[in-house]
Amino acid sequence: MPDGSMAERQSTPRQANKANDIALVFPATESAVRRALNSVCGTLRALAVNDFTLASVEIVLAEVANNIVEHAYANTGNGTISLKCQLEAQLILFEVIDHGATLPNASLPPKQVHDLESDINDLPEGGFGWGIIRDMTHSLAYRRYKGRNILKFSIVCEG
Amino acid sequence: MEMTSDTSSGLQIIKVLDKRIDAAAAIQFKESIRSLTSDSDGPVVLDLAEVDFVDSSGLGAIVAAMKFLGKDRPLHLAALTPIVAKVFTLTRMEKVFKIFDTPSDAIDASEANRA
Repeated sequence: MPDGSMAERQSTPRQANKANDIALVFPATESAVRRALNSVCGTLRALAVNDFTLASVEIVLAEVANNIVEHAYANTGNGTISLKCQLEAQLILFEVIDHGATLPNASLPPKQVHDLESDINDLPEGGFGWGIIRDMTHSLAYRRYKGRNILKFSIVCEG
Repeated sequence: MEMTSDTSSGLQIIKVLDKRIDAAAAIQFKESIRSLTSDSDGPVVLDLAEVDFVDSSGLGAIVAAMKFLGKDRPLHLAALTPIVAKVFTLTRMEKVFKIFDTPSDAIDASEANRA
């Protein structure tokens, strides 16, 4: 009966939590990444996540997704990115999956430390991504499983 | 990419009108800066008041713009919004650029230098 199932759904905290889960699959292109960020951040904002936390989410997701577009799929645009997001009380949990190339050494790249005192022509124009991801996440884990890259991370809900 | 350009006290003030300098916009950003600065000289101030998001590709594009302007034409930044400022701090690139609160602060500093 529809009424009965509704009552059961409301009385079960786990089911209520499910309503805060976000899942989307999008093509591995720069423009699709932009739309996906817009969608995820818009949904989290509607779920009362504050601007400070949203800024961290948008920055980290952009770096993670752009890495997949540029490196895992080598800018071919052939491939998809699957993104799941779960809003908890203190943390937002993310799982990002792609079917592209394995990360170098099948492990998380280190934060690159750039020499910023160097000549203007030697200043870095890239290599910031993993440093940003490492600095802004609470937890971060990578594994390669059955031809897929699985990146799980969490971001603290500030204030 | 949409930008406006004004010259004041020997400074070229380029205001970015788009909301994002990200991976999808990095190439257009560099091309627009290149064409707006090709017929001018003097320092350039990039007014980022309207930009609410920069990712590492956008940051790389700003560094690239600084490089092609060369040592004789410094690129300064003005009016960083919170997320943009955060990305510059995290990557320590805030140390590479002179950053002003507003474009008029950059003009004031330039005039003080000349006086």
